[in-house]
Amino acid sequence: MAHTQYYYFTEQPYTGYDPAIQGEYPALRLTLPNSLYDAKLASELYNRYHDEYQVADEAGFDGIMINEHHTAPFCMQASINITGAVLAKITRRAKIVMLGNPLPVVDNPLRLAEELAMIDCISRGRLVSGFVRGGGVESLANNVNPAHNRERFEEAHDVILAAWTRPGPFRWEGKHFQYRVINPWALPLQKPHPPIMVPGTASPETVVWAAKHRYPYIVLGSFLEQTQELIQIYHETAEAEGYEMQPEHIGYLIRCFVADTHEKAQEQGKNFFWQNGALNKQPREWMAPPGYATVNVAGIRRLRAISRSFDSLAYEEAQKNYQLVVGTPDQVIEKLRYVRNLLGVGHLFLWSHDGYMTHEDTVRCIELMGKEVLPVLRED
Amino acid sequence: MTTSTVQFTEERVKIAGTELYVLQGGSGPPILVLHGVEGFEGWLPFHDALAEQATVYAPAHPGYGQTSCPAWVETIPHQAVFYHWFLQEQALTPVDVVGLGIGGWIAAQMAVMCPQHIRHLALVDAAGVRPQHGEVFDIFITPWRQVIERCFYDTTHSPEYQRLFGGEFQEFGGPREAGRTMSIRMCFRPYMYDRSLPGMLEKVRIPTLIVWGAQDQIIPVECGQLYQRAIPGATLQLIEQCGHWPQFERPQELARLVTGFNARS
Repeated sequence: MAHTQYYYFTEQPYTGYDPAIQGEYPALRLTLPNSLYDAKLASELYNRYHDEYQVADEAGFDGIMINEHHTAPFCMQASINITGAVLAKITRRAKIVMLGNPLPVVDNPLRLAEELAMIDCISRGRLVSGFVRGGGVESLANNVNPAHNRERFEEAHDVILAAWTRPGPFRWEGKHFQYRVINPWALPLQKPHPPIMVPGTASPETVVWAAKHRYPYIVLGSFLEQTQELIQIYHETAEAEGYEMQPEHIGYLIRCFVADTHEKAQEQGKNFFWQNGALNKQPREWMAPPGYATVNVAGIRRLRAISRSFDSLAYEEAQKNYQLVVGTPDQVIEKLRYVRNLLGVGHLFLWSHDGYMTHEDTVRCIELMGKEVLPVLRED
Repeated sequence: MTTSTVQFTEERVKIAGTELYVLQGGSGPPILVLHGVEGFEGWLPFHDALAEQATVYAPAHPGYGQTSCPAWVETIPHQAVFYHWFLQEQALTPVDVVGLGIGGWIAAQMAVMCPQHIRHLALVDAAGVRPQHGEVFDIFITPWRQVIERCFYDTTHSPEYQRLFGGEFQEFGGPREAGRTMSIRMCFRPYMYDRSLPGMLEKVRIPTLIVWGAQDQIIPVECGQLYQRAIPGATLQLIEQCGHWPQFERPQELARLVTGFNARS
């Protein structure tokens, strides 16, 4: 799998509060009081995370994956485009992989098309523009009707593609979006438009939609068996559409931390549990409000091992079933190779920082990846 | 199962691009009963009690499981048009209308549209107006089981609670899920009100009874007062020891109030 691309990822967690308060709230988001937020600490963290992106760029990652969540302390990126704009200026080689802009919560997709075009131009054509539906709670946080989620996702996508590729001016009269004039004076550098990816965790409809558009579908850390099922859906849809699925059509996000010693890696890897099971502790009505999904996405998501609270058994199990890959370069090479080959993915996203990992440990992890892990994986 | 003393029939009426599922029972002048966010729960003791003096029509709204939703029905005013269409085709006008919760909002909107087709209007813990002091409780971000509990003043003394919600709780799927989805489609933003409704209601000249559970923890009693202020000559009645769903918690009392009001005015 010589052509597989490797990407660095962190959610940019806000760690200045104690997740142990989770018992007092339905979830560690949406209604979690923001009086617990310290902007001084946030300012430090943003800048630190940006420094680490620069290290990843220099270390030789093919790209940097970024994302967006709202009213969520586990992810400080309330706007993926702001992080994208920063990356456009502070990195030189790595692709800026947005996984992704939550289209349904955007009220003005034309503005999104303009912002993304600017990022593509400023970064000299390094943008990979992923689009997501966003979990139900993102719709609630932005007060966008969750029952319209899929319709808005699809129509916002159509608006953006049209804005990028159809010569303006033209009019748009859609169900959810209407424009007198679409004629943006900010167009992407990459032609016909920046590559598009679609991440997801569970909804089969999203896989089908991605496959029909021939967009790479990126599975965000679901169990391997479930991931294989989703990939199978892609494969079958591609066949029905008259083309053959290639590795470049599929990606996988996996938590992976590397350190110089096994002990150090094992100690630091526990940070992936820093929210102690809170990641997916959400009422069903937040994760999948009525009308948001046709299948019980909330039920599927709760199955994820990493969403359990931390104990040594959960930690061991998460490593055994490849939800977590933690170790020395040699140890993780073997496991990453197994996962990559099993799934046949052309894009492997390495979630290599979380929780209370220090800047030094994070930088060391990124360097080891760049010097010792990625070169070996690329030789396969 | 309900121990019904009244014979009722199940009808499927082809109308407006769908088939309206409607239960019909009793005898006397027609009364249309519009359910709320709880959805369509079949023939109720409340219907039974009303049917002693009237011919009850209890439909499942478009989008609430038993009646599929035509593409054009997206809002509360669309539902109101839909029911006027139904009344027109069935030649049921003039009719008495009882609206419960969201059904109350539909009924109020119907009254604004064609007041001449409505003889008496009853709005029960109705959605549709924005409270000036309190807030409508956010049922869309609350686990549904908790919403159900909150809709009662005292679940332990409610046979209807036991009958409808006492058993196993289906968290996902089914007709109840369909109804919740339709409620979200229509009422998500702005949440449970139309700010123009009070202004429009001033044109209504229909004898109107407003009934509110005194302990409604979903839509504050204040909204009942706002309805009363908006509709000229409207009467407001509170039911003590009763939450948001009088049709379940005080079915006999609610039916008595409605029947008595309709007989008097």
